Amino acid sequence: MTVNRGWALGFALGLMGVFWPFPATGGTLTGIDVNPQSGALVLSVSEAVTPRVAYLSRPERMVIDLPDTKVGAVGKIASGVTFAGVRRIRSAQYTAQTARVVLDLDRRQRFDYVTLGNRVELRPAAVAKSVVQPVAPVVSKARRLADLARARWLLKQRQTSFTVAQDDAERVWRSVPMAPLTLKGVRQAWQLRLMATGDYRHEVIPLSDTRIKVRFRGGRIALPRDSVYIDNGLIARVRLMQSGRDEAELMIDFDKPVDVQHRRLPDSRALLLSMKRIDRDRVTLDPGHGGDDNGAVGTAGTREKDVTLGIAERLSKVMQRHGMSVQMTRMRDLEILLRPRVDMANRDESDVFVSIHANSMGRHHQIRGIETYYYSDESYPLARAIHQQLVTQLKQPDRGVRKNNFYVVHHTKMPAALVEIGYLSNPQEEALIRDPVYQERAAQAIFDGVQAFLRERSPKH
Amino acid sequence: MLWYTEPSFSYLVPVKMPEALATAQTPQAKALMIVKLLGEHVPIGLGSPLVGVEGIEDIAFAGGTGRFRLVLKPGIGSAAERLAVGALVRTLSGVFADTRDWQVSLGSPQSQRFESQHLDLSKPLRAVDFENQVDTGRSGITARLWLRVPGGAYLVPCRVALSGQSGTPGRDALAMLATASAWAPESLGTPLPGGMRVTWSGMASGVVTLTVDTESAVSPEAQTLALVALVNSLLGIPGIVAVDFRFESMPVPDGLPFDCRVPVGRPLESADGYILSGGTRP
Repeated sequence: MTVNRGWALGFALGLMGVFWPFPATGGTLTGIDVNPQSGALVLSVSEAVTPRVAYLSRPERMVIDLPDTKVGAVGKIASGVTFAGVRRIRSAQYTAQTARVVLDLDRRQRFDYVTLGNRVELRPAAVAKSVVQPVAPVVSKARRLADLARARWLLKQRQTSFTVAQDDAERVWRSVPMAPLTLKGVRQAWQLRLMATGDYRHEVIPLSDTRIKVRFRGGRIALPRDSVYIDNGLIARVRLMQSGRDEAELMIDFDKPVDVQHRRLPDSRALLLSMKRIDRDRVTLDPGHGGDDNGAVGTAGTREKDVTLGIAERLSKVMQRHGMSVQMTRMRDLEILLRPRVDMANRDESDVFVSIHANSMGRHHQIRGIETYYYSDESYPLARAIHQQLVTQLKQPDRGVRKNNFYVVHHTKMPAALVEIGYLSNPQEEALIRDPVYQERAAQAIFDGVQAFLRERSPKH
Repeated sequence: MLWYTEPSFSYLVPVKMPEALATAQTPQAKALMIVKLLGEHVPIGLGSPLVGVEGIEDIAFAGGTGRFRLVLKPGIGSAAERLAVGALVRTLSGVFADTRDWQVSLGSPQSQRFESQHLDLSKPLRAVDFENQVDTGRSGITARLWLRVPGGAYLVPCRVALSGQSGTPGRDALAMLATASAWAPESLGTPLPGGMRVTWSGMASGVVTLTVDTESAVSPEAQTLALVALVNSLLGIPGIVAVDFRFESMPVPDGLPFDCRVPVGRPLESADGYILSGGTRP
């Protein structure tokens, strides 16, 4: 294959360790300091300058290029300057014409900057002006279609962020035909299109069911090395990096297992990655109580928090063996409030939510049996299916399927059931519930109920 | 009504309020007396719904919302928590008619406030949140049917989905009352005794006509429970304004909380007689 190295574009950030050995002509970077009055970080240059700004990640950095500037007495490291959110400040001659200042950041953070003649002043940006925010908590609450709009907004914002920078940076985006990363799709199918200006070879390397790497050979990337947080419910993050002289890598992290297909478009310069969510049933299991909250305690000392976790762990294994995707609201003895449990299920957009509890009626030791609760009409078939299996398989008294406003079944957005597996206040039932074999049977019964519900709802099962 | 629970501790059972409650002077005093009655003066055959309840604190009323904090022993289960909060909310809602919403919080005996691990206490609760529910395996029109605990001398109102078989909700309700022992949980059954036959004779202008006769001896207590259950169940169905009984081969029962020689259309809430056995637990 003929490799046209000409598709490398004029602007490539490359590796930070490579600096231009020759001094620049024009202005000189003479100082980096904090203005005690304004609190701004000030870059002092002997002549007026228009900076170009970019952000890099892993580690988080802010890069300020000063065109037609050489690094003066400040040297390569501006030590002794402390600025909020900045761990270290470095400076170096990046190219013959460009001085570069790098702020090593404590965290993902953005700065506003203004050029005042021969000074550049930086201040922490207001949150609303942040170019790329870790948006997961906000976006994940929205519907998927809204996520798509959000993703486009993010990409657009990134372009905007570079447009507000100056000449070279703006040219970077213009030089790439159309948007370099184009997302399009509906609900569970997504496409990522990568454009190039020349020929190249590519290879798609699956790293796990939630991560792929696409390796490009034959040129340099035209984009700043950076991450774009998409978080559209399928793609979590896209990272683009120059991994070698003529080799670039695109790393894509997914929230959920996906199937990725790739093909070159007829002009052979565009690569189309089509991603489809692997349609597994997603279940959130919620072992009740935990940590300081023991839940009910049986007459022999059995703690509800332990048996609920034991059953949930067994149930998780059964479900995973049958190809379901399972998350648990807690994996160990940990106190978690009810709202985070619900949020976890809603954020995951699980198909089913099952909360596992054990009951107690205090000194009324004669009370025993299984109860299953639901709240919405949509949840009733799930609760009933689970309850029927539990009563049939465990052969304990049937205390009914009941509607109730228990928090976790009230606020989850998918079919949800809360199972009361039995009464720890009944000595006989307590002995059963603490028995690992019984827990295994309970887990199997709940699984059978969930599977029956899913079959009923979707004939594909 | 005071709301207790039946022996299986599954359902709330209404019991006529004792007149002693009227002697309480302040709302707080009334609330405290209710807790005392529900916890300590339990009618024979019923149970206290306040399992694990140590007390009630910080009772307040403002703008149609009542507030209280329930002090619970640690480690009570969801069923006990639901029974306790449900009984109090239902009872207090009946006593304080102007107060529909109840903001409930929980505390431990050490006065520490804690989050319920079961109930959604993020919003005020209402009596309707604690209606007894019985799963009939169906969906559709629901009605509140008054069922009887086998062997018990009281009725339990339960919301159920009607069968829809006859196309007339009232008729479906009657059929389901008669067959309740077949579809209801073990702890509940039909209020119609074995020797009594009730026939749907028609409905006109919202008045349902039922023909009642007996094939064998039926105790007055069982007759009363059956007729109260029929009246309460049918009058809860939209479109039914009265129940007209026709008695065949049996005298018109007396001692009922309503006069069944004329169509019975009195409001449900004023019908008493859910508990026929007198006395309370020692």
